[in-house]
Amino acid sequence: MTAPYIDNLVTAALTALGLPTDAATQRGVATHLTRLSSMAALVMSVPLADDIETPSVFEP
Amino acid sequence: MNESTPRDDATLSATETARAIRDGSLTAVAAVEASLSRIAAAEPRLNAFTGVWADEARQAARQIDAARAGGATLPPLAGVPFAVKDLFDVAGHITLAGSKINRSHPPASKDAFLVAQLKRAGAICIGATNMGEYAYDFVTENAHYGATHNPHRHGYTAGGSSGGSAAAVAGGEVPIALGSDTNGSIRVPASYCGIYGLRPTHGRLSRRGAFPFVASIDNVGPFARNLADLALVFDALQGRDVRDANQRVSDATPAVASMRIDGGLRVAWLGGYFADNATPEVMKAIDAFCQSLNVTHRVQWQHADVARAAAFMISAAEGGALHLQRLQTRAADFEADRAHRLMAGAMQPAAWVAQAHRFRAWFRERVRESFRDADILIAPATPWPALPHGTATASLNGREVPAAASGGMLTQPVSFIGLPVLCAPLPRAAGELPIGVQLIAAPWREDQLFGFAARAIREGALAA
Repeated sequence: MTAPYIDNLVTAALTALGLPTDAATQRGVATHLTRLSSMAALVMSVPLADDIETPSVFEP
Repeated sequence: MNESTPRDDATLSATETARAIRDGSLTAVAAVEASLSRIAAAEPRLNAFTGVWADEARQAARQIDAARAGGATLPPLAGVPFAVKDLFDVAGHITLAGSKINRSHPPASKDAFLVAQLKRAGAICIGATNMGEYAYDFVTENAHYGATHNPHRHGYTAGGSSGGSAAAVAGGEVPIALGSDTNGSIRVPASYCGIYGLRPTHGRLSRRGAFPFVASIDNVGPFARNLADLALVFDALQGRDVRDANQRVSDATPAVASMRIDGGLRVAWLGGYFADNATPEVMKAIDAFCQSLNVTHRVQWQHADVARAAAFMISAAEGGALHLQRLQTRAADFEADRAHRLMAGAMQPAAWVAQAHRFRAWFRERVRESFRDADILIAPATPWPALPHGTATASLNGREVPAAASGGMLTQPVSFIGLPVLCAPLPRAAGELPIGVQLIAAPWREDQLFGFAARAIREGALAA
């Protein structure tokens, strides 16, 4: 059982990204996005200062 | 070697093989034939290889033998057979990356940088090894090429995603092999298979010619059955590649020489998250290791659980983006669950992924502080020893967790910030499955890892 907001996000994002939208794909993706969502909650809960920059390997 | 018993050329170490070829007691052709015979005998049980290139290996061996006969000075790995995870380009062969889709790719036009480095050192490429599809895996249960089995117990995972390379080394098919490690894909299989594995500092070795997964975290490194071989291979792999934008260091760190140094390194063990997420059997082995080396200082990384989560998210996001076009057009040719995982990763809100990257920078600074008081940190490599193939969930200190994905929960927080890690096999009783330990150093201090591991072997705390 996945949260309605996850199901809605999966439905919209599969279409937006041009991915298959069959029921099995929707169910499978929703399961994984639910797990990612719980991990994101953990990551988003850490307060970070504004000056912490994303590291990048790109060098001009 | 005992003169009264015949030498088993297939199970010689890389160091022994190279020495025997140099002194003329073994030919490179014989070394290659021994490896091929071992592969033929073991493959029905292990399924470690996706391709064996016998003719090319024999040809390379004949060239080595001819060079020696002609009086040439042989390079350090001359005649030593090696295998590569099937995501390294090898000229003339298709790089499958564990996928069905890549079968339609053209053969590689040139060797990956690390393959070329090993060949330059005289080593002979025997073939390519099985892996999890597109390296997104900790178990090597590949739907397209079959599961790779643990040489220590059939029906059990060899770990992943470099499971084929680890099984090939542990099973005596080759003395050394190459793997890749984004979230633990060298350390998890090394731990499960009871061999040595090295994930160098992020940016130490060139990744050019290795099929990517997570550009910001991907790394590459060697497997070996003993520390001396690991050092020998690591020394051969190092070298400046001006065409690899990810490479960050120009000076090599000599690993073989570092094994002779015992400079009073300060050692601590990582508690908290790492102890909480390992089974009692694993922690008992880690405790015994620490006690035997008198390691009592304990440090803790705050937010290691968040680091694991952030690594998980970044991997899904970058992996999903990398494969998006293939998912759009050939989703049915992926393993279904992997396709769904990649799709979910690709649709994460940008704010989540950006925060995960910013957390990575923050966490890196916090962890650096732990190296003020210690040069080497000790942590378990895996929550448990190898599990049977197909295990869906596993019990971890009273919790049921997803077995396959959780295999890397102790490796992810370390690789997330690019630290060098040497995974070494702990002493085990006969019949027990292997357990590995992560030895972690500050960035660019692989020399300290080799120095400390050599000391641990001398003191009987690690398997030689």
